[in-house]
Amino acid sequence: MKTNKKGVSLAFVIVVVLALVIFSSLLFSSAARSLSMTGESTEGREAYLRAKSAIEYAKTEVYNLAKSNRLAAFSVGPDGDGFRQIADRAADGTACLAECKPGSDGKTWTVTAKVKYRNSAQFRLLSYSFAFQNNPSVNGFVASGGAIGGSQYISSDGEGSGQSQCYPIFVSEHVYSTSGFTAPEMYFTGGYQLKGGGSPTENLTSNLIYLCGKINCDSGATASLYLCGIKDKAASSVQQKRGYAGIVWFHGASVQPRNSSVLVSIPDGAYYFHEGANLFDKTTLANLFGNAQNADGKLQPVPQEDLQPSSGLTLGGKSLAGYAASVAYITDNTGGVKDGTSGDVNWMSQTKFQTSYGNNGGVFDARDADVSIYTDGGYKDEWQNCTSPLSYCARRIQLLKDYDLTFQVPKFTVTFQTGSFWFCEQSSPSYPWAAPPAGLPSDAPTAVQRSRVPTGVPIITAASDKSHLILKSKDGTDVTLIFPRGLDIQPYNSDTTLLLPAGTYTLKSGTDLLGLLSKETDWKTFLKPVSVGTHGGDAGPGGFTITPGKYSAP
Amino acid sequence: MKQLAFRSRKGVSLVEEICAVCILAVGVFAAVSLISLSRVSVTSDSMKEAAAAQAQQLGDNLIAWLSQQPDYIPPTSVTVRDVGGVSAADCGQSGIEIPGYDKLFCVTPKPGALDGQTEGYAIICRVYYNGRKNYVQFHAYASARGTS
Repeated sequence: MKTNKKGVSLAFVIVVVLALVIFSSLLFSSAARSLSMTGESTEGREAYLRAKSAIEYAKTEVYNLAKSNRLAAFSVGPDGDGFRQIADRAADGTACLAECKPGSDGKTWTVTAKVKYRNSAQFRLLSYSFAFQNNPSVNGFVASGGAIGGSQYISSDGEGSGQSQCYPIFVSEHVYSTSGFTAPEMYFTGGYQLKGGGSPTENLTSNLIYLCGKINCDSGATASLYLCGIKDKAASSVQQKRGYAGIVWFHGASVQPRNSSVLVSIPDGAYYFHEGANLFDKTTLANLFGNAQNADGKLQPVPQEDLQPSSGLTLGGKSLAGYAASVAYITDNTGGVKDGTSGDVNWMSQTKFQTSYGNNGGVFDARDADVSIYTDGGYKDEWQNCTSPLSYCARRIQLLKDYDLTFQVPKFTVTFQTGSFWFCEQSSPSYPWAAPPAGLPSDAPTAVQRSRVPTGVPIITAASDKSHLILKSKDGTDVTLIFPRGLDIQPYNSDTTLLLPAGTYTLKSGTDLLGLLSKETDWKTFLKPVSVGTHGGDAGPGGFTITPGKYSAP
Repeated sequence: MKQLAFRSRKGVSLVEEICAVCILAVGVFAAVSLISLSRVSVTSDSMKEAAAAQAQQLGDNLIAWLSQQPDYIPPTSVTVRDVGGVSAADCGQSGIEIPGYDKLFCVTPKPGALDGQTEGYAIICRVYYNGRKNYVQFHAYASARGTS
């Protein structure tokens, strides 16, 4: 049988074309799949950045909430291209992008972010953990040159309306006063005595007043010591919610009321006070001794629950819970801070002085505590005779020296490993919070001839060319320097000196303070002013610490 | 008879050939077009993927960098910066539409409600590809308070 060939070419072509179409369709679908995958990948990357951004936003909010003392678990929701804080709930990827909550230890916080992309089944998940710690809300170095040392009393004679400070004051010696004080917080741990005949009247104007020892008047009779609060810008829930002017804290205190020759012990503890509460008025004091019937109600014990972090009560923008730690922090178990023995360098850590050292050098590690090193005349011999390098480690270090002493770095390297370094002085025979001397540069450190340094400026100098004062931080970040009365840094055997106006600075970690000038013009890149011209400066960060955290994919 | 004439098989192979050629031409054209389209698409995808990766890295690095800058102020003019090893143009206060650069970013400081200080930064990063005909753009946020 003969095969008919007609129509074969058409069939062949159709087969070929079909094969071509199938092949190219496969290729096209592959390209389309690639397109889809690229889109998905891009959206996934965008979701990752959004998740990370949500965590960053949560970090910002942690800071804000902690600052206003309202830190609690919360969540982050979308707000256009940005974010907003929302009530705490688990992240769902759309309406809630991140949840920030504390761990069981109360210190470790975790932010878990979840962002949906492409379709409902796909999410980007990211987690971030950091440590959060509440610190005492008052800097340990409340007195910028506290009267720790030889002064027998602090007189405010001739000051008219009394001393007024923008930072807390702390006086361990007996205060003998004629005109009162004003400060955000004040700590009188050596007693307080009004001076003057007749009917002396004084105001202690502060949000927190800590009194220890005898509170009386030298002439007795009809003296008045009024407690008044400061209405500052920071929200004070003690004032706003409770209606009190502030808190007075008694520790081992006794008071001699009007027309009485007897000192009456006041029960230890914290008391709310109303504006104008008179500590010498028996009706004001009556409530402290269970005689509420005859009391005028101007002093009321602070309930224990108000001193817990959960109460949310604040004074001057700071948590009341922190005050308990602060008071414990600057006083020993008798309620007063004792002077160091002459010649010793004293470490004040938490509630106690820890140690003193002789002349053996070594490493003194106070870990995360704040440390105050007081140097009086004796330190010169002790420290100068030391034969090996010294290293001090602490969260914050205050070097407190006598007014008339030059702080001389010995013939070796002294290292302060700390986050911030205060250089203060007891300004006896002047007031402990004397203003910086005149003649300092107005806005920036300046290299000047030594002969042109004004008198009265605190000085750090070198015993030899081997003297080094190294300041470094634990993690390599800049060290904060606070010089309430300015500073003159005098390198060894040099006519040129570096004169700093009072204020706050940052110094690159690992820098030798005495070697700054040898860097010639470069020192400006090592030492930078932050806030210059305010001799008091901030009382210190207090509040809280947020340590750098770690990202991870849950 | 006319009906018989239609049944004639003469000349059919030519028509058949013409049809076959036409079908083949259409098929080949379609196939080539699809292949070409696929190639362009795949190339474009590849470039977009690379641009997205760069934009993500830029955003990531910017977050880390800005977290260390509590007081970053955008420059008044375009400034090329090295951000964690990625070189990109900081558009500063000029806005993100800057010609001549393939990697751009724009940072807007966000002041805090509590103290008015910068608490964070809104970031836009953009990477152009395909001869600057297309771009990938991401939004991000960096906290100015604390390290990342």
